[in-house]
Amino acid sequence: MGAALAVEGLKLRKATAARVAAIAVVVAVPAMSAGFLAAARADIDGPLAAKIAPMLQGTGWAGLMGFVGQILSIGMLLAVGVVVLVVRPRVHRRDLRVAVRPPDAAP
Amino acid sequence: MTATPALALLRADGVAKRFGDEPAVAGINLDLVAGEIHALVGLNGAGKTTLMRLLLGMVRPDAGHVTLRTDGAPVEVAHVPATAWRAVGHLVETPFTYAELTVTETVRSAARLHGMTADDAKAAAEQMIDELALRHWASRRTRTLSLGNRQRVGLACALVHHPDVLVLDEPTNALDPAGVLLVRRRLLDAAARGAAVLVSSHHLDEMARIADRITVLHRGRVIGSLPPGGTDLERLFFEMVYTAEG
Repeated sequence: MGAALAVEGLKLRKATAARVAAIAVVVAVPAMSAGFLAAARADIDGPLAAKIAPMLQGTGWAGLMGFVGQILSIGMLLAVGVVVLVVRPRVHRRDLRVAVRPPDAAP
Repeated sequence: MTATPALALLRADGVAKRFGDEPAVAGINLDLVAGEIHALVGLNGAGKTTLMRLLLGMVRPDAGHVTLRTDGAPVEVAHVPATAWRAVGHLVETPFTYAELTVTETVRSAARLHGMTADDAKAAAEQMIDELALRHWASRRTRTLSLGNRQRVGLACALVHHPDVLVLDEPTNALDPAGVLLVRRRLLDAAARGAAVLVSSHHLDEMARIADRITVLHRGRVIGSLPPGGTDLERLFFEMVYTAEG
């Protein structure tokens, strides 16, 4: 199991998709959180503030962390999905191709 | 050529597989014996690759049994424990490489996944890279390699852990003449240290040089064998095929 984890870790570190997804999560989540909050503050009665209001539960750090957590969860879901979609299928694609090969092309 | 011990490490008993209405493999019996190079020859679509996939447990047979000898006893391939597969090396169809990894990382990963320790894997990978003349590309990502060099990487991954059973599907089809010589040397070395080797090829003269047994497949059936080291194998081969066709 240790060897498998080491190899998977190596693949993840070297994959462009994983690097881009990691940067997107690290940069985009704080940026979007700060942006939404700033926009809501600047336009308290506007439509954006009305949309964000249900996401802001509580006050102070608890409210802020809850808000960031919601954006982070969506960001991570997207990032992991993209990485899994781009990196993992490369391992299985060739076997899949053989499995679905039409009968007349069977080796 | 090596002596022929009678120990069958991998065995197919009446194994059959259909793809729809097309019988790809129809009741084949085959033994892979320790210390022996067993060659499969046949036309395109004869069933060589399907037979190899059946032997490796990649495809389940519709009929018959495939057994791998582990810990001295034959075990149905579907029930062979993962650790026992460490003793098997294979390259079937497209050489498998991770596009993001370098040649060294790919070969080292293959060694680790076949149960070698990190230190052993590092040393074995370096040795295999030298033996298959991949040193010049060792730091290159595999997606930048030519088909021939990717095939060498695939062979390195199959050979790096010194397997007891080696199954190679047309291992030289994309290689230059120098690569063919390297693979020939590696196969003879593997057999000399006691590995059972199954190799398919269209190159009859190449098989005649290295094989201990040559089995001819046609339309999913074994239609005969060719004498290793024999001459005019091409004529014998086509006589068998035309006879089988009636």
